[in-house]
Amino acid sequence: MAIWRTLRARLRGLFRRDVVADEIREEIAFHTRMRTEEFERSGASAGEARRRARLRVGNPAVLLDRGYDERGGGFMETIAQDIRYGLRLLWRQRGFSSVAILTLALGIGLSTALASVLDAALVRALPYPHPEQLVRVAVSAPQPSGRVYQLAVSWDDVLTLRTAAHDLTTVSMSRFVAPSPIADGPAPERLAAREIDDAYLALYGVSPLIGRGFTAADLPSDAPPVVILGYDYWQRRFEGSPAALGQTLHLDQGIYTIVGVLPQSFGRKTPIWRPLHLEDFLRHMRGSGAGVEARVRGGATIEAAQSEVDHVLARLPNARSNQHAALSPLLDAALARYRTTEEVLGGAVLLILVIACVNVAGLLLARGATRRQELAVRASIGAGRGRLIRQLLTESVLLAAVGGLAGVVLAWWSLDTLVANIPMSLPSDAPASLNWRVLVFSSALAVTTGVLFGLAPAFVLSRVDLSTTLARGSRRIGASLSRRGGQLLITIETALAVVLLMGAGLMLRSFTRILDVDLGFRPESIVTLESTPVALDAQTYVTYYQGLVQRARALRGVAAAGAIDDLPLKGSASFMQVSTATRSASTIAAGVRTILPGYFEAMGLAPIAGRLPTETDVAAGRHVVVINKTAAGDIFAGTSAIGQAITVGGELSEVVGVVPDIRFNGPIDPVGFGGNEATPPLEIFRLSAVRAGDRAKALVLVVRPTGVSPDLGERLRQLAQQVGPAGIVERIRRGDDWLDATIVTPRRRTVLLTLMGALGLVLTLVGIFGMTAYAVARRTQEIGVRMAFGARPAEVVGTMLRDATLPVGAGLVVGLGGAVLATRLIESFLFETTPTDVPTFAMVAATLAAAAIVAAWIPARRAAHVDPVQALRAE
Amino acid sequence: MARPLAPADQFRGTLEMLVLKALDGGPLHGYAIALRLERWSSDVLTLEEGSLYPALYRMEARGWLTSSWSLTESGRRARFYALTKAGRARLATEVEDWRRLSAAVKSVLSH
Repeated sequence: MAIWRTLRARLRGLFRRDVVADEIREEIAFHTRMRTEEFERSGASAGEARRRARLRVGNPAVLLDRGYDERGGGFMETIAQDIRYGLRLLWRQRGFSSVAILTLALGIGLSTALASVLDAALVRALPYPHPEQLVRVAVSAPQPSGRVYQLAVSWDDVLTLRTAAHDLTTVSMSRFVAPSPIADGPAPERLAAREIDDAYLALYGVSPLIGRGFTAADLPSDAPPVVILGYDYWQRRFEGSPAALGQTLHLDQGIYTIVGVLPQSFGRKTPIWRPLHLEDFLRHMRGSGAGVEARVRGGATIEAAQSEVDHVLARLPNARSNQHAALSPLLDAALARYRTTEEVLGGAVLLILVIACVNVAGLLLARGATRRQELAVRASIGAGRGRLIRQLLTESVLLAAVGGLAGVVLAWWSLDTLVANIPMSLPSDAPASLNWRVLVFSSALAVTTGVLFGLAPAFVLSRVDLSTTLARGSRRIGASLSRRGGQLLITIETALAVVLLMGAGLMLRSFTRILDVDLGFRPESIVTLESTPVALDAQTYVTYYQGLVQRARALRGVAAAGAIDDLPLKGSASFMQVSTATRSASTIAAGVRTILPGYFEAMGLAPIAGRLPTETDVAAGRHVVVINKTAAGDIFAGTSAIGQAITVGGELSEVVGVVPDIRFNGPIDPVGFGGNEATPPLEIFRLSAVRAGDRAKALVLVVRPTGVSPDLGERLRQLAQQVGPAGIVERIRRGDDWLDATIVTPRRRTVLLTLMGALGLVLTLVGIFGMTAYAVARRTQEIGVRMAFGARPAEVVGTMLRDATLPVGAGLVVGLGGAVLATRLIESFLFETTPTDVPTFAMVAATLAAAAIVAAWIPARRAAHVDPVQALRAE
Repeated sequence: MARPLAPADQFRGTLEMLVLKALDGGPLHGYAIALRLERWSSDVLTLEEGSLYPALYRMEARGWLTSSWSLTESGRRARFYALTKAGRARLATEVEDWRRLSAAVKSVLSH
């Protein structure tokens, strides 16, 4: 009841505050008038009576204010008043305001941008109904090597589970397939494609935007070919027209009828969705490369579902006793994927936010010195301590609100850049955006930071001692930020900055080590071009690439050109059984790559022994191979490999040369099978186009330019489109882009953490600068006195500098201790660098100390220019 | 400068009790309350009369008083305050407390 009455009164006060004010004014005026009349009746003159009545009743302005407070309208009214006053103050002290707002904008902006990313990665990790019910269905299969592989179940298993496993409501098989060439678009292109079964869309709770999904009748290989389009491709190719339904696409070598389009919220980046093509190995083999996902019935636990699936599979006639069902939640996998990255980024952003808050708190306290008098005046006309705290807090929340607004703008402006460079790949179904959840978070954050950094200053500053402040009337008297207080803030900031900088330093050191790795060749001087002919028969492929290589060599500015199926550094090659006269096939497996002559020349690799393959070998149809150094040492240990016979994939060939090893899988993990094998794989290079019955295989053109030739890429593109009937150019890259692709994640982590470290450093330096400048200003008189008594300017500057550098030293010690604990978090990000790398620690400490001394020295220098006479007269 | 009679907080409760008592006889406007307190206390309690109003608003917010605009005998518009049921109950407890306190103080002083 009482609450209601208060609330109603407050609301009335808020919306009809003029009525409330008028009522109070009228009551006071009535009272004063009655009093005046009484005094007049007792014989006082009109003026005297009015004066005495006023004295008796009190100051009407103060009474109005207190009346407001009591009548509830006052709270809101005074807040509005404080806000107006605060805004005027912000405008008047523009220098202070812009530093504080910028600091807050950086802190809040970063947090907002990161919140958007985390919102996409965690809150909307799987943006489908009941994502916790989705599981991957596999069997765990122990291997002779001792490892346990998770093999997706076969299509036969899927059909069994659909009828026999009651804890699974939907079971679906799907797979990514090789990109489909499209011949009849505006320009020939290859498009990413996924094959799905009839249950796939239902599993994710998706229905097509227009048209229909696939049914069981679409799956058999003799069914009429149909296709569903992804949203983005539908927009691009058909401009979002429903008339796309029923039209046909020339995909691969078939003509497919468009039967549906997926909504924007599901798989929009995948243009082509086809019915699962049930090849024999998909039907019968577990671990065929397709994925099987299912939905667990609501109410059933995943454990229960797993044991049921295990029972069902164990009853199958071909059941294997050592394989057991393994159901793994998709949501767990999605959430765990970037946990460390999220923790590290979250931690770094939090540190920056705290530094920003400490900075602003320091600034507010320092500024408070100039406001002592104003606050004292307010207190003397009746503002209580609570009232002063409220005013000061309103001001800091206002500051935070403006800073937060600027931060949200900053986040909005930088989000795309951040997402493009974040070491995570976000689900395309839930792009990072500044949605309402993020905005609510940012608003809450702004208010919280406003209260946090405003609280301490508000309490300190509101402790006004009227008699001293007003009586002495000095602007410099109030030591609102004590020497100790300022030093404590500097210590905190320095410690936090050390942790951030250590993260950045370790990442940089680790990244330098990655770049220093000898790859065996120099990718930066190479241009690669990936293209395919539209026609799919092997003969077209052979003539296409041969023509391409030969014509590329004839281009101006090309030193060498060749081609290969799988570029190195990607961690992939076709592994085959290899045998020699003395060793049987089962003992040797080697990565086999297919090349066209000129490849090694273009890569800048000279043979260690023998020769490289030539065009003559191709023309003569000779089966010649080149092997890498490891293969030569392994297969032909002790004897020369040159001229030896070797059987690769059932084909007898002659080894004509040995080439140096180059990295199989980029600089970080040399081998790429989980990193257990230390030695590089054996590699064998054979010639394309010399074997009959070869499957059509795409090659990558590798070109070494003679010098800088910016238009070489464009000329190669034209060439690839001219050779043969029609060529689809996928990608042209300079070699360093190609290298970048292998180290993109460490690079992004390094860039991000370095940026955060730099930001933390800058904010800390701003703080040290501000605090020292304030200390100098506050102690001008003292400095004047000391100089009057003969202190030399250098000594004075030294004192001020010492006041700032001691807390920096303390912060360094605390921060380095904290960094030892914190950097463990990024241990898994580091390459050949320990999280307690001593040189990095030393480097960070030295950098920070040097920068801090400069930041303190600039304002401290001013102490030397204090004129003793002026300083003393100012009192 | 004269010393204040009592610190505001201690005085506040007393003022509220006095106002409640003044209104016990029927609705009054602020000025009439001030006059009545003055007269009843034989001019000892002369407060800064303006502070009567914040006290009135506070007591109204607590539900002890209601108020309405009305005309005085001389035909002027004024805001009249009246006790509510809760206000009457409050007055009773305050008076009871006060009696006990003053009896106790008197008994202490008479020793």
